[in-house]
Amino acid sequence: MRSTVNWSTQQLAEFLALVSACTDVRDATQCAVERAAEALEAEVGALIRDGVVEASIGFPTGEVPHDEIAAIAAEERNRIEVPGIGPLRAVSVVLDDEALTRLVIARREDDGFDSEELGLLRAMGRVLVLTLRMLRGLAAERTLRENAERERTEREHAEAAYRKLVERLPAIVYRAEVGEAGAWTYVSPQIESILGFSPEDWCADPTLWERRLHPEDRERAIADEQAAARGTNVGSSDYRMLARNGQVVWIADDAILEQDDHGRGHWHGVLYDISDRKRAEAELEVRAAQQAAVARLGQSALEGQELAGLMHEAVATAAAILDVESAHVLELRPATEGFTERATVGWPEEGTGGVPMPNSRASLAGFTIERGTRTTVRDWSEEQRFAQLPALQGRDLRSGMALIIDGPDQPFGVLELHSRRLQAFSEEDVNFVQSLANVLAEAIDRRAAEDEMRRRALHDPLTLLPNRTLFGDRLAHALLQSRRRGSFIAVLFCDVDHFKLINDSLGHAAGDELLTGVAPRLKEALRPGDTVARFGGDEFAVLIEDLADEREAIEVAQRIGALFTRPFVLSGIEHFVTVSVGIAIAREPGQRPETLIRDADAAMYRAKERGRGRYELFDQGMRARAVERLQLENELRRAIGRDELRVHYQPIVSLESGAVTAFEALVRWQHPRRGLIAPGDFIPTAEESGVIESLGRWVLERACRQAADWHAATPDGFPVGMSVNLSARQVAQPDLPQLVGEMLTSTGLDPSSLNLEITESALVEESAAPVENLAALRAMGVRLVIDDFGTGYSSLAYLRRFPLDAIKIDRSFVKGLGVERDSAAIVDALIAMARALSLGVIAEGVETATQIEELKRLGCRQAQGFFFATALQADDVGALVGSAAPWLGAVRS
Amino acid sequence: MTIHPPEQGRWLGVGHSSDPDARAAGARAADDALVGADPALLIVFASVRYDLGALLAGIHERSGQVPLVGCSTAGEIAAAGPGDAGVVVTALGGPGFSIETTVARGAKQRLREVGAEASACAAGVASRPHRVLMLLTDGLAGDQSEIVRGAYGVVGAGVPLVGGCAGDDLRMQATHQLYGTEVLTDAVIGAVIGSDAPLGIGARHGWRPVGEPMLVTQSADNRVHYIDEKPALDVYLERLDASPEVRADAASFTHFAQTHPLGLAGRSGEAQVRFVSDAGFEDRSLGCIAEVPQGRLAWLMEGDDASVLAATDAACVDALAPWQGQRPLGLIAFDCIARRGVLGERGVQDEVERVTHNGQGAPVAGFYTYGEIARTHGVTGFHNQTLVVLAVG
Repeated sequence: MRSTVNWSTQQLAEFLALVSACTDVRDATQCAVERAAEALEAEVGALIRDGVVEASIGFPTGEVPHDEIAAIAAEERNRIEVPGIGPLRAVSVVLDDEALTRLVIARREDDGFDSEELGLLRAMGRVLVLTLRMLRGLAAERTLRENAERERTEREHAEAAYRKLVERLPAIVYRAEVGEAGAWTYVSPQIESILGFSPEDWCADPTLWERRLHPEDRERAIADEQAAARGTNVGSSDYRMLARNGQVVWIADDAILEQDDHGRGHWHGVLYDISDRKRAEAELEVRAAQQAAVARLGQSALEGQELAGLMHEAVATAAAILDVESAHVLELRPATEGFTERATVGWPEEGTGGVPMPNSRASLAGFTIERGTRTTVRDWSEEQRFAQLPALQGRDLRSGMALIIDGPDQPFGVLELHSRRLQAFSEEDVNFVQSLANVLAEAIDRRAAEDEMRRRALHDPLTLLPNRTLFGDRLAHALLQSRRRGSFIAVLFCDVDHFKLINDSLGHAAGDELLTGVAPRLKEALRPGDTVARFGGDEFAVLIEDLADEREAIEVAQRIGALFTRPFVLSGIEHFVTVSVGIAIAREPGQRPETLIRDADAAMYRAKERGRGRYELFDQGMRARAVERLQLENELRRAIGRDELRVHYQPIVSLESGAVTAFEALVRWQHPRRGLIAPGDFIPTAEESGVIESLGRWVLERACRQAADWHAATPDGFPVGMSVNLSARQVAQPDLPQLVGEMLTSTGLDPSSLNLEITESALVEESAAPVENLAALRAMGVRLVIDDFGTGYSSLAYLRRFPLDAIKIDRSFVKGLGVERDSAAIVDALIAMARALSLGVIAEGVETATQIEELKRLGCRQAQGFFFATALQADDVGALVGSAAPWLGAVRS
Repeated sequence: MTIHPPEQGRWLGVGHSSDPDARAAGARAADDALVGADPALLIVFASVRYDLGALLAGIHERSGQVPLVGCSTAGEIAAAGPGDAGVVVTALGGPGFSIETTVARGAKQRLREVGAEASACAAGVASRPHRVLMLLTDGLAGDQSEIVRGAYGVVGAGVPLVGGCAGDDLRMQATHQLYGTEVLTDAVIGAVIGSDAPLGIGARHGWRPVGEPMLVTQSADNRVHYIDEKPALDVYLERLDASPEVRADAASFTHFAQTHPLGLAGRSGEAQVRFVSDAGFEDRSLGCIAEVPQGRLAWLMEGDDASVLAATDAACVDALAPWQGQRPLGLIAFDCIARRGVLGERGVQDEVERVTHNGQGAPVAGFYTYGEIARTHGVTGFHNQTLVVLAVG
């Protein structure tokens, strides 16, 4: 509405009000452009200065037509194209004298701008120029003011920070005249908190500084000041002062000397309170000393110092470093429920000297052990938790501490310190003593470990009995003693009967259970001074000293036997176990320990041979036999090399066809002096001595080669097997399958033609389980036969564990066939048992036609014995094979 | 509900519902509005009495991913007449439309900036020959002219502005802006409509200055402190000879002020009307919905049914000018709540009928606002006590 009441004037007034309300140039410019456009109801407005559009309205963002606006400003054109609304009529007015700044307005109307509008625009332009000038001036002034304000603020902040800093410093700033009577002209307020004097007090009394110097430092401090005043010493001086309340304050005095206009010297200085630093330094020294002490103790421990010496060093160190009157190591003795003093320092004249002290939780040491943690007593007079031990009472103790010395399983004891002065032990002090206790604990640990190692080296870990080494040592010692005393000693060699059977059938755990049960029974049979040792496996040895005669040794053996009549409970089940005992008695001087052990061993073997569960005394006959056996052993070793061994072959015959199904290879020894020796006379010696290994290998090789030769010679008519006996020792040999495999390969014998015969005892007695060996052999195709079946353990369940093919019924059962009814019954049972296990049956020792009849009746299919043939040399075998065999009639009848 | 048959595939549909269940109302109104293929934009005006989230969910059930803008109202307008506690959904689509939308949040603290931000979408439809930027603002956020200045600063003179300030049924507590599935407050939503056919805008109020002009001698933003060197409230009450109730009671004053706006002198045409929203009984100031510049000449304004309704016709004529008698696709009205106060229920019914009549039966949608936006020429674009009509062809 174009008002009659001076439209342009009120528009100008509003414009002035709005633009002058702007606080900066940029806002004012934009506002002016917008308000000018609004006033003239124009779509477009712009302010251009030096060719640059500084503000505009009416153009989309980023699409301001600078060139067109510049052309209008330069009055080169009066229209402007605005996309969307077409050409606008434009006008520009000069804003400043130089005509560099112009206000441009464009409107979508054809009638142009009238003079009032142009007048208004120019007026607005002047208002804007004035406003901008004012704003720029204001801006400059504002900047100046802001800078000044900022500087002032910064200065104030800096001053405040400086003031705060100085006031927070634990330091006294001062100014003082040089000279003894030199007055202190300024002292900062901190003197009050540091030395307890007000600045006024201090300045009022020039002598105060000197008087408050620590007596020990006074001379030096004054000398330092004088030297500084002369210029011969610069830098700070450290000394102690006494504060008003008498407390010692460490001061670092740092001052410079300045001359005033009259040539008088003045100190400008700072007194720093360095008490904390000094305390820290002292503390550090103490810590260093403590660390060094711990290191020294550790070194002593490493160098293997005796425990007693180490403990003494620990208590002496603790007492010295912490300046206490006494220190002790108290060892906890659970059995007596008390402590034993192991090391002490402080009251040597009254040390308890190993006398036990009660372990009561009402004592410092007992309380510490019970709590399991360090305990400090700040003041005994206020202590409520426990009381002083009687031994410590009356010593005027004020403070103390106790720390645990750890042991391998339970606390070894405590390290206790006592002071007659009231001492507040710091955390570091307690840690220091703990470090000493830890060094002791480690040494104790190591000692225990060493003891344990020593014990283990000489003891059997399972039964904790002395081992063979320790037994040998004790035996040697006993032999020396007996010579001096003229008494006898005896060695009893004890072996648990059928131990392997228990181990195999009940498991190793049960075996171990049995062994640990045997040990106390053996001890029970002995006198206190005698020794029981475990030699390994199920072998135990007993050393009996100071015997009057051999009767006493026999009584011990009898007691042992009697104790074994009680059952052992293994895996919750009662088992009856017997023991075979061999006794050897040292009667003659100079007898060697190993001889005595060997004799006892030999006697034990005799006991086994004679039926087990009994004792045998080594006698001269045994010795003779032993000597003989030794000789035989030596000859046997040479026999293989000298080609004195022979293999003979006994046929095994089918009781159905009469045909030879196999031969059993049997070794003979053609002794140059003693003639042909039967296996029973040298095989046991060969087994005991180990010769069996080379002997067995030789026999096996020879038999395999012979069988292969026979097979090669008569490929169709000689499909018989070859049975070879294996000793128990051979069966236990880990490389047996490999050995057999090599034999088969080298000789070319079909594995199925080889029968390996093993005695029951080889399966039961040997400690090494042969199951793996047997399984490997079986896997190769070799057949496995149990020899002498029925004479040993003969347990069906037990045999089931092994991969067997056949059993051989022992000759003792065959012998009674047709004569004793029992024999037939037993053989019948054995055959039934074999059938149940799908095993073949071979009867041994067949000598009569009656026996053959009985065996056939009972279902036995194969047999061997003198009735058919003795063992023959290889060359004589051919005649027995085939239809010419002389026993055919008996068999086929 | 008014259905306008699609013309050459372009269409505009309006659906209205006052179902009390927000979700159902939204779905129903959307169903009725979606009368053509390829919907491009949904414009929703709804009462604050609805759970607006549920309302939007109901609409989205029907419309899917179609861009949606809208706001809460002080009453809704549909061809059937003005209403309360309802929802009006306008949908437009078919060939020749390009739509971009933006939302700017946090309006109170930075009015001009959010105005600029909400207008950023305008650049997206530059290829269409006809464009209009519709702004839906929070009517309680502050000086709305700053929002419009911000928008103008971005889009320039080439893109007309149209729109209104969201209302809350005169509760004056919180208004809401609707954007996609979001229900916002203190936000400004911009939707630029690019069209191959013309878009017309008309804006009239029908108020007349009465008595001698007064000089605004002190004001700050929306508050007028002094008129003719005297406390503004006192001058206002004195000159209008207000009753004691109006002089003492805030609600009575607001009711009274609805029909007694201020007019600000312009160079030509109608004076700008400023809705007086509240009285500062303590400091004797007047609160307005938009800026009253210090130094401006102002009048007290008066109007009656006849002048206000005459303005309705004039706004429609201006908006429909590009069609030269042809029927547009539809009309969208942004009508000041204060006009409703002046016209009364009968009057507003008459007004809506006039709009429908002017539009030759084309669908009509709209709402009663807390301020109207229309800028077709010049820089100024914010109005009070005004009817703004957008005609879509």
